Amino acid sequence: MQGESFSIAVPDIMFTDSCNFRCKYCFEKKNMHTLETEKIKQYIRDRLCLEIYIFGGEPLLVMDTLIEILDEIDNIKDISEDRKLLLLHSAKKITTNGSLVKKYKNKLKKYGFELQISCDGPKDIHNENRVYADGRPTYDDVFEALTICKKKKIDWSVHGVVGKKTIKNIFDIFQWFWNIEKIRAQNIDGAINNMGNNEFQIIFEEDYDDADVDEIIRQFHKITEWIYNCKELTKEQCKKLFNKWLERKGGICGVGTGLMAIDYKFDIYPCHRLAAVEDKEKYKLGNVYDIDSFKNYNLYNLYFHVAKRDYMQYSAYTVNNAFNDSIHNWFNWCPSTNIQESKGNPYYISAKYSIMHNELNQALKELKEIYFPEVKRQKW
Amino acid sequence: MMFQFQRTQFIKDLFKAKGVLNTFDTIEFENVQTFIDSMMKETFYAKTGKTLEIPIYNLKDFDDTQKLIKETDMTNYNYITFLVRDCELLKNMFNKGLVNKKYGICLVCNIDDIKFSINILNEHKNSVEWMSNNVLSIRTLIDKNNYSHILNHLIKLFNQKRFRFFDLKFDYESLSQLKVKEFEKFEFWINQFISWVHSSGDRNKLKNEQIEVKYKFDSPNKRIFISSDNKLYYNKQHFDESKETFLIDVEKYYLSNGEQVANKDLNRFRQYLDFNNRTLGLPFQPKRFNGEWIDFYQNEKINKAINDVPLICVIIMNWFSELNGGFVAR
Repeated sequence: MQGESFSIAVPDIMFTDSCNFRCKYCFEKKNMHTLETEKIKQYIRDRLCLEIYIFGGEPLLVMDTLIEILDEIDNIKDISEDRKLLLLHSAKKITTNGSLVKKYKNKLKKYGFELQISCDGPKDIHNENRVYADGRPTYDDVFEALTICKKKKIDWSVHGVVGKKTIKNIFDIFQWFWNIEKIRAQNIDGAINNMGNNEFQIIFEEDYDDADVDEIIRQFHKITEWIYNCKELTKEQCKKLFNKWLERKGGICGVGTGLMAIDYKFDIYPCHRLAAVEDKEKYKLGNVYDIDSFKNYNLYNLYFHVAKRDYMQYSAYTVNNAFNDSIHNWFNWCPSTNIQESKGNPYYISAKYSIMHNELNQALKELKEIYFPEVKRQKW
Repeated sequence: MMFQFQRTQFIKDLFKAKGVLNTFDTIEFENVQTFIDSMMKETFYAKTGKTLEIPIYNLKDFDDTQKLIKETDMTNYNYITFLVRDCELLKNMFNKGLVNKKYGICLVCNIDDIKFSINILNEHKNSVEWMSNNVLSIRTLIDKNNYSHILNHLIKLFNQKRFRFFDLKFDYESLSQLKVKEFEKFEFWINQFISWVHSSGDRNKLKNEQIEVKYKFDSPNKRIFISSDNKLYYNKQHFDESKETFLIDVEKYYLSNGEQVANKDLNRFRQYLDFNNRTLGLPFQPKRFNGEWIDFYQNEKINKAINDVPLICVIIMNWFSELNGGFVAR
């Protein structure tokens, strides 16, 4: 590669698109490419970023490279301690399918990695979609990974997805995550706080119908009732759990702005989603090491517009910033997914998805009024 | 505890072929037959106060549409504009005579046609009554190569033949390529043109004797173009340049509801249908907004999203900010 290099403040580096799983809903094309170790080490030596996020495929497939990267960061000269710590801290945050945690448990512990382990809930639900490349179920290995992390005190969290097939299981999934959080936090209040994180997300791309909307409302009613009647919680804790979990908020992803994705060739994309899809070529900005290769400026400027104008998000029947007024944010706003699902518009949130969002939002407001009403202070 | 949730929004309601065209402000049909088919298939309901644009390509089209106007109350409920792209045809239409009801005729032409059209108005003896009650307008596309000639000839057309209703369209992609020096030249010609345009103040006395530019003051004009094979496009330019990127195939989904339309196909269509003013991204707020000049196809072509308006569009709106008149799109 030649030419003038380009600094991205926060690159999402696709170390590998290799993966030992074949999850049925995965949007990534598996090509078995891996970034060359020496090139990424040079990238770090050139100080071309403030933070660095590593993703895949399955990043633990290139564990040795990850270790070399951390060592490289640690050895950078002429850099402030704060900047070095920021780089190290970001580089240690890994999203993994968990299958290799057992193999690398000692290294993960030694280097202080923070793992977000992907798991879709109880065994039969998880195994519905998340399987090895040869079709074998993965739950037992993933659950073992959680146990190992707990035992070895490796920083870990769990995140999953819910799709059309598993909407009917949301109540069971909620129970599973609640039990996991109790294990992780070791006390009830800690578990309640943890449930405020994004435990699972509704898959954007699926073709939902009205029966799915009815079912998701039924499932959330079931969860609300369970929380309300939960004997292991005080009344105050019940209310807190409801508020924490169902009312958690998210925000627009900052991809395409200071945060951009780099693939194994050091080509730049707005985000790792668009760096991994079949038709990725049309989303490419250029190459890190050659700014003369840049094109597609309008697409990248559009991401900046979107970030600055988040009030412009819209969808079917959206009125007056309805998304920002939501009681919950199960439905995160992803400009890249919007571009793909609407064949080009990053502001537009999938219509069927947004109907589900609107209806669930309204149902949750009513559930809250019934089960956990706010005490109205009387004005004197 | 009692919880009985009443849903108000349904996925199945997200699409219905019948009446689909009525959800837009202005509907342009590929040809006369497409217009008739749309009514037969009920993708368009006639009595809903829409602006319709129907192209006339030959005298048979002319005869068919004149018969339609004469024998129905179509023009009572909709504002129809017949688009004519051939000056000779327009001349022949005038020679034949026009039914005197409320509708418009728009000559869609380039610079050569504009020069030719200066001679047309001598030929309208049989249509004097229609001319005195209706609007004959000219629609022309201004780009980086023709702006000085077009604007100059439009002024001549006005002065020599009193053509005064102009529906200006701009090729923003082309005009965005103007270098700064030539940009000043472009502004000069716009300013020359504006000085002939109707405005308030003392010149209000000459209200009916100045140029009127087509305007929509409050919001973008949401147009739709329907092709003869029942596909929808933002406008004719979209249809001409990029047929494969249609908004939705109404024929394919004629009997479908929202649940049955594939996710991406539905979103491609609804990202336009659900567009509202709040989601319009202007680089800056012009002193005078003209919804006729928001071109969703060009927004998508240039800026990759229908919501983002090219800078040159807003600059042109700003240049026209001294304008206080303009005939309003109906």
